[in-house]
Amino acid sequence: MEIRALRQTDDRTRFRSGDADLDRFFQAYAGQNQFRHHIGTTYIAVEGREVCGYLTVAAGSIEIDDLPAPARRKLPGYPLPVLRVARLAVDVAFQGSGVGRELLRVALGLALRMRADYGCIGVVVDAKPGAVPFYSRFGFVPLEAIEGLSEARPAPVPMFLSAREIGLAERGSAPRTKH
Amino acid sequence: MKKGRKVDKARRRHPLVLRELPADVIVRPKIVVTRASGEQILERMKSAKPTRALRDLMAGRGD
Repeated sequence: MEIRALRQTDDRTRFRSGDADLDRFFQAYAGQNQFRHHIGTTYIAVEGREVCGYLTVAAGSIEIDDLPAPARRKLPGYPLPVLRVARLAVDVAFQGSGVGRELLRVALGLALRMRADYGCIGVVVDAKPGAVPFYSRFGFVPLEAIEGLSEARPAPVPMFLSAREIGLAERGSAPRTKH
Repeated sequence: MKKGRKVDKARRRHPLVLRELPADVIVRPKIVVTRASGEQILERMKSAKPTRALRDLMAGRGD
């Protein structure tokens, strides 16, 4: 299985995740998002020519609301850059085979690259309510958002994972070398 | 292209994007969170440790 950025020539018409909204986005809007408006990038997991799953990411930021003066000394009053995982879906034929995990690993790797290249404090995922336990296992915590929520229905739950945790996990998994 | 024209072009393009894409499809780039969530985020940036599942994921190990 290969995971790579979506190309204009990829056939998206046969993708079925079992979630009509995720399928509609992939088939009708993922291309526009990426090639016309440049407001998000979709990565696909492919087996031969078949799309097994997809992931859509975009750069974003977090702001903290309503900081009283004493808290302002402790908390930053400026936007914090994050990688936003807007959508992740797996075709029904590949569900339960680890494709979703692999796509998430790619997203977390992108966040680390972003952190190294131009700054990123973590990942915010717009989790479908049924996917909250999946993300919680990896350390994502739910956020109380006042603004900037997706208008998708059912309303997704914004969840955060810090780049610190991702970086430590990656370092812990790297083979140790002798010096 | 001059900087002013580029900014102007981007400014005109933003409403175009909003018109062409349904609201539920657009990812809002900015998310504003409550102070409690903000504090939680900062705490995690400072001292959180990865879960076992995250370490396994980044190592490419299965469940």
